[in-house]
Amino acid sequence: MRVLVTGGAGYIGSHVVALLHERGDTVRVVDNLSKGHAAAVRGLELVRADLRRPGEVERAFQQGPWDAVIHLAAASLVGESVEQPALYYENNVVAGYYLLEAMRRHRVNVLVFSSTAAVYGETGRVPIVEDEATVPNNPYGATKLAFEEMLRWYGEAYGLRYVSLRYCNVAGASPERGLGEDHRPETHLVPILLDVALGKRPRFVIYGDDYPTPDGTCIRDYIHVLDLADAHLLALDHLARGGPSRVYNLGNGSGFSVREVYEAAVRVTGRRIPVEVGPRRPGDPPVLVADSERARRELGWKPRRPSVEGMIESAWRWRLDHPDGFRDPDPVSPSPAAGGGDELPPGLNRVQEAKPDGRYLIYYRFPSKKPDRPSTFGNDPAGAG
Amino acid sequence: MSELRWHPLLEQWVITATHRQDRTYKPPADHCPLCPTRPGGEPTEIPASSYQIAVFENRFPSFRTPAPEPAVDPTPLSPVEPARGRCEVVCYTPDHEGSLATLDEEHAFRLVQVWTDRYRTLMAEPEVRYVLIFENRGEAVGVTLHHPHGQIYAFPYVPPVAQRELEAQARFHGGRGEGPETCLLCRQLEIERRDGRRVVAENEAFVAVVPFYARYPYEVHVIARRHVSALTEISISEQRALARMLQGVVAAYDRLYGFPFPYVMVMHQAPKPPAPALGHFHVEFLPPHRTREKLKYLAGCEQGAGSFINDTLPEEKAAELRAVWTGND
Ligand SMILES: NC(=O)c1ccc[n+]([C@@H]2O[C@H](COP(=O)([O-])OP(=O)(O)OC[C@H]3O[C@@H](n4cnc5c(N)ncnc54)[C@H](O)[C@@H]3O)[C@@H](O)[C@H]2O)c1
Ligand SMILES: [Zn+2]
Ligand SMILES: [Zn+2]
Ligand SMILES: [Zn+2]
Repeated sequence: MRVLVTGGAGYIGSHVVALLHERGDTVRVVDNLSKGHAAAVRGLELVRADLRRPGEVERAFQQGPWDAVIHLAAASLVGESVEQPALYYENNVVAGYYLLEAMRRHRVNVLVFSSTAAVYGETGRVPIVEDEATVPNNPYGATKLAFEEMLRWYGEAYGLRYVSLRYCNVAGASPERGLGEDHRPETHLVPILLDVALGKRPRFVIYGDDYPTPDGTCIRDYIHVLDLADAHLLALDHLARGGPSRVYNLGNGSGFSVREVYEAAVRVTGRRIPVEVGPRRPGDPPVLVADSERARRELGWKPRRPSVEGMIESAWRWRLDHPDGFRDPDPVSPSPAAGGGDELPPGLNRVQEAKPDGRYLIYYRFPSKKPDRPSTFGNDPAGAG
Repeated sequence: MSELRWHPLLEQWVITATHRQDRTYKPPADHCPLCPTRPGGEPTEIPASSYQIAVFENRFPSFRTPAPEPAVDPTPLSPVEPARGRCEVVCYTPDHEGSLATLDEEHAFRLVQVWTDRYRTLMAEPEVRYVLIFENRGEAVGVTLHHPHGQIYAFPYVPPVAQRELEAQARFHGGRGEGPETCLLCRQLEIERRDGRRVVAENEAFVAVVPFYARYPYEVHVIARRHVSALTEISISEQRALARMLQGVVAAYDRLYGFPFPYVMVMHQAPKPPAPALGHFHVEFLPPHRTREKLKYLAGCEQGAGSFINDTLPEEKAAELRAVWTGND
């Protein structure tokens, strides 16, 4: 299949892209690199385009035809969305509109959407099923939901078929593929714990330990990023088979409390992780766990890496390999021939010395043929070939 | 003091380099800092009493490593970064008079090899993402030293013009991978050669052309005929062919009006990945003259809008340059 992946240079997207590529699909990453990293999609086609600019979206669709779009590009920080709703409407709704319009123009009518469990808001019931009412309590959830609704009406009117995946927390990495989580700013639990373990942050704060849960801290669902990427591929296959538009929850089935995750991080890293309990954050429900029965039944999806230790362990290995995330110095050599540093061609010599002020000075020497005339000009016959 | 300040509207770095204010301005010929140091004479940048080709770090560098910490704080919209990288001066020859065109053929070939070595060496430095080899020639482009020389800037980022060209090339090759069949400039070269009216000269490895879309009247692009992305990928015979072609362009320029023709010459080579593309190696000559007397000034439309007005026909300018091109003399 030929698949456009928006947000493919991001954390989840880069894993989705790697799996697509490995199974032989043609992938084009479309990302503005506002949050993503070109290094996360090295060797794959990357079109740097901002979905908020229709001209750039159009460009991203060139050289089609494309069979499907996986849409992961989004602004996705809950707190920021409350302060800057405009940014969220622009990135998640307006940009989504341009994307759907480009799909319409180019007759691409299959889309997998990376949505979020934030569309449910503070439901009372757990685990959450897909039929639960959607009452988002922040602009992030509201804008993701708005796009889902667009998908539905585009489906009714124009025949778009889509799968919307709603999930909570994602963790883990794929150190074998050189892929991991490098968000700036980082707001996610696991990488923050690892930062503290590495001494890059002073302490880990648990927001509230007086919730009505067994250990008093919030309970959340965690999915390994590779399991989540699998789900995106399965959703794509479902649509490719002609399957109908669908909404699926994805989750682990059982959740982990913040304290459990913290303790797992201490075990995995073997480091001291200073911890402190702070006040609750507004809008944090005590338990958020998704019921993913429907995805298991209809897509055949099953989290293969359900242990939170496993998630932390993979993230930890990636962090140790990439202490500065994707910003470690780039490997040298732009082209095979440009490697090494010291291959001088035959006859050319180089002598380097330092000037008194420390600057370098290099003399290049070569055998000098006395010219048979004082100067030469080009030897090239004039005119077109 | 020097640092990078982010221009949030143009989304590009501005290099603040205030120490460049007190640069040498046109010293008299007997004090040329690029000439070899005469025994017992005033020391120049080059202490040896003779040399062939010399390269040294610019005394007033826009980039250097280690870079000084920026002296200003960022604003909420404009990050500030240290100006890491390198700035080098390349002295083409110990002879104070002359030009790229008047070097003997062997010397010009060695100059291409020196550029190649500088590109390779600077690209290997960890903070460097892009190496710009260029020459500013003539007072019309603000050159303060007449001794034949060029410069090299090793940037800590891919500069905007290169970025834009590479993005266009990436879009052109699309999902098809980068190669001769999918390359924008290979295609452009084919278009120019088929048409022929704008080709100034060609040899076995390079073509000099006033491109269809020239922005300056006498703009010439020297384009590799093989799909290569940098000097490091060309063979020794191609190095010779490149030297001859560059010399040919400068010689034709100088013959055009009978005086040393000012120009900016810039090499477009591969950046360090990650990058949209590696691109197709070419050398651009951007001369400011419109006529013998008149200069093209970058004014409202060019500076203010970024759109060039070329009030000449590339087809005619190419014919003028062909007429003064010297073949096998
Ligand atoms: N990480 C989680 O825990 C989580 C949980 C639930 C849902 N999600 C959803 O999954 C998706 C991916 O999340 P992630 O954690 O990988 O985020 P991410 O920030 O790492 O990836 C998003 C990518 O989209 C790109 N992008 C953003 N705006 C763009 C625009 N206007 N045009 C082009 N590209 C743009 C960014 O550069 C980035 O590469 C998001 O849609 C998010 O809502 C994530
Ligand atoms: Zn994160
Ligand atoms: Zn001199
Ligand atoms: Zn090419």
